[in-house]
Amino acid sequence: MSAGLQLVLRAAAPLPIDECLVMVVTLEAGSEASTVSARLNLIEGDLAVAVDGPSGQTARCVWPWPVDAMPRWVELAPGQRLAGALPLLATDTSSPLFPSPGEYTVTATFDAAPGAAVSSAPVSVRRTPPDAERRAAVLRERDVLQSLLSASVLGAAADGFVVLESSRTTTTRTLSALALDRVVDLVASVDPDDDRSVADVVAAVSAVLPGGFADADPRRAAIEPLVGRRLEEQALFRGAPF
Amino acid sequence: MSEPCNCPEPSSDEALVFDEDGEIVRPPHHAGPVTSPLLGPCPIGALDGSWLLEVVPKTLFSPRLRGPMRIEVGASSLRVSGDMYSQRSHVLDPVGPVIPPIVSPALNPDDDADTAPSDVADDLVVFPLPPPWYPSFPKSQYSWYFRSHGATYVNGTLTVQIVRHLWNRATQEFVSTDHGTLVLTCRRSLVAIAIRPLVMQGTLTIGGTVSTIKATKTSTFYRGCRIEVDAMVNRNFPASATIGSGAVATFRSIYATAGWDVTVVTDAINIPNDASLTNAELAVLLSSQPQPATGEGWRLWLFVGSASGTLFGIMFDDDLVPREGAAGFADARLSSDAVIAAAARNQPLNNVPAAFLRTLVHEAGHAFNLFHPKHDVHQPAIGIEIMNQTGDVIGFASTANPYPNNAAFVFSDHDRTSLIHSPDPQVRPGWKNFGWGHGSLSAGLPAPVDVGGLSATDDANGLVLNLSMPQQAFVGEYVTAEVELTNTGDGPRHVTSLLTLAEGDLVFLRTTPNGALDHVLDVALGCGPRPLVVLQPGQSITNRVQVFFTNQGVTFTMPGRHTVVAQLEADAMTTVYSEPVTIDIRTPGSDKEVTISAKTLTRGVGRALALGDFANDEAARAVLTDLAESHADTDTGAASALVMANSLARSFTDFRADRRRNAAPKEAARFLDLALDGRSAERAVELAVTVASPTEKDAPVVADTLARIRKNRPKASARARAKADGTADVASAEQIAEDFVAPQAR
Repeated sequence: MSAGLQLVLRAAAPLPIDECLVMVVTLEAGSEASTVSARLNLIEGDLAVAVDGPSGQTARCVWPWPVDAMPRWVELAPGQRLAGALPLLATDTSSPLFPSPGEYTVTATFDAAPGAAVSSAPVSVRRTPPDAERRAAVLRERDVLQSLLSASVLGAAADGFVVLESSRTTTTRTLSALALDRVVDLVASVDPDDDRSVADVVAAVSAVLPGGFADADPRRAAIEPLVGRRLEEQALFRGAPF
Repeated sequence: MSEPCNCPEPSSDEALVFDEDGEIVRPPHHAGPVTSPLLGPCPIGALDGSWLLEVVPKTLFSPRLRGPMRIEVGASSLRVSGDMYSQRSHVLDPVGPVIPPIVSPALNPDDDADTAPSDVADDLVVFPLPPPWYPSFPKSQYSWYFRSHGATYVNGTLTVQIVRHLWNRATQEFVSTDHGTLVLTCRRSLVAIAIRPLVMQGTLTIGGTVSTIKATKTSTFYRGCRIEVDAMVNRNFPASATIGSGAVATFRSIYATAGWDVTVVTDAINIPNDASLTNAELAVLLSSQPQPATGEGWRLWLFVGSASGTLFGIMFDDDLVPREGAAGFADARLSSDAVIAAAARNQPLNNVPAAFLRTLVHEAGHAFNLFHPKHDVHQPAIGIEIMNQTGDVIGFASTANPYPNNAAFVFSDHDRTSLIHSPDPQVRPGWKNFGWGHGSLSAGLPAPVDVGGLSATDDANGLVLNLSMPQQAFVGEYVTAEVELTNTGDGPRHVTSLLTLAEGDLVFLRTTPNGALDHVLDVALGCGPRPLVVLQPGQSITNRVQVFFTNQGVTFTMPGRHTVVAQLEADAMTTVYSEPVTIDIRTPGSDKEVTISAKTLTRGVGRALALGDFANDEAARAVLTDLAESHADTDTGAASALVMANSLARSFTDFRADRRRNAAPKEAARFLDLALDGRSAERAVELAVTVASPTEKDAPVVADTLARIRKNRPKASARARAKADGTADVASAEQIAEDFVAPQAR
């Protein structure tokens, strides 16, 4: 069932620790067709990430809230891929995943099918000093991290989102907009011809409201017109193979 | 509530021996006769269930030590575990009239029970037979956890070798282990039906002491919890369901298979409709439920909602008081796969009671800190029991045995054992976060401690200690903390005014990112009488301390999250702890931070910042001068300037070298100006009182800083503009300086 399957983490550019990191992961079929779990996201429990930090510690990144869910399957034809997005913000205990600047190594593991776990090659991620210390402090707050992940405002996170408005990256602003339910404003602020920004929006949305899982969420519908022409972005957004 | 024990009834002194895993290792053999014609040893099955274990106090002042004990008697096994809670007996209070109440567990029908040994004949007293109950005590009194490491049962005497895990109330973690022996004797009348609770008497040997103990049986179950269900309109809590075996299962019956006595109460069934629920909405529903928490009985909120994506259920509550609520989603649909029972295909869970009941029991299991087997560090097998994800159970379904018929409505042995025997902090809703305790309990060298455990004292009723620290700092940055003690009780309290790290009453308990525990104190320690201050209800005392350089050297050199708890001996009888605060220590991020860090991470500079004086260390003097002149805009630079101002405002004599450094008031004033420039009066004095050694109440830097601030007050023309904030700033600074000398109740 999993013969030749490969899990590939896409490299990420160096990013200050006062911004949110979302990485894209793809499951690639080998030379044979495979029926695999379509749950290539952190939420439904089939995907987990290990992050090795500069001081030697290893953190586990899984969804902080345990869930029960149906299996979802998808058929990958030879050479086809399934894409997912990873919100790399917090550990399984909702602590910051990247607490300080430095070189980190990220490895993903996916339960593609019963008894068929597949791991990615380790990928280096460089987190640089913050541009804004206040924003970095906000991104260490448990309520803010949980809010960004749950796409809703939890606990005392509201004040932190005011600080996140100053973010310079589309990813952080998209995750904030989803939590605050200000997706319309977000869409209006993104240039649909700016491929980079559109890709970041799609990845951020897919990280916390993945296709196939949260299709009925109205915030996804508001984002949909922005989804670019590129096949991979469409597939990532819909959780469909490409 | 285990399987009936196949072990023969030891009506004589037959010995049943159980190993460290609780399994029987020696078959029974017959020995001598019963010693009394009326009283005989209890059958081993009578031990099975929940007990209140009490240590009989040796004196009036001994801590009150009691807690739940669970004895699981299996077909060929016997396991014992328990959680002990201690509370100091406030028989006399030498310093004031306030006597905090002793909190008794909710659900305890026998609050006034005498803890002295009772005669076994009490078992023959007729009414009333109390209903089952589960000893539960305030989390703040938690002291230690124990589990059996081998046991024997012979002639009515249960002997258990226990491993004790000591709990540190400050860090809220187990910190060390030791071993002891629990001996309990159970006798029961042979001629009358005992309808009083079964009582055992015996001894506990641990920590070098032998204590008399009493155990009172409270239930044939091991633990209990009240489940409060709220439902959204038109969504149904499945009160019962016919499962694959043809039996009828309920929430209660499923938990009963794990020895849990679960009472389900449906509160609200009219929560307004909302097609899609977020975690935030669930959290608000949890916090706004109409039934307030009362007492110490365990309770869990279960919500029957509409939908959240395609989830069947979620244990969404992972905040600072975690695992108090879980939810199932009635609108989530099963698929139309052939391995789904025909009547359930493409149906919402609301229409498939067995599937929905399974999910709700599963989510409650997460709230009791059970993991999905595939995510559990103990790596139990993935299967069809309750804690497997529905998707995994469906993986075992077939067209001949479709879901949910193929599901087992029981907990796996691994989960059942955790539910019965894991420590209260791990299992009780609202205590440790989800996932805690699924590794091994903390190991470490056993420490010689008495039966009361490491924390024989109580959290203080009516006193609250607050600790404030920056949320983050870089390695080498000057760090201060504020400590505030408040009387939240109804009467006055006489408390220590020594809110410093130098005089023994206050200590910071710091847990480093790698889990090590330190006691953080000042580098200078003073001894003397404990001056008391009277706190009227609502009043507080406050002080500021530096934690940059302490008995640990530079306190925060390890990047990562440090947790700090303040512990204060408020009076001779009362220890009070702050809530834990965290400080994230990072590596220096900018060139400026790198420069500062490189200068401060030397012992000489650290000691100067801690003592408020560079003494005869000329190298430290040079570095402090540089920091003050180059980085006075930062707190670290300003603190350096204030150390220079303090040092140079007075003379210093090195008696061993017979050298004297004269005071240099002009230089001192220049450094004072550097520290004050661009800084509020309040912050300037905060820094001044922290660089001054706590044992030097007359350190010139405090008075000089305050004098300069007063001198710099806005003149008449500017005063009006600055009145709103400037005057308040100076007043605040004056209070801080006053508190440095002697904290005042306010």
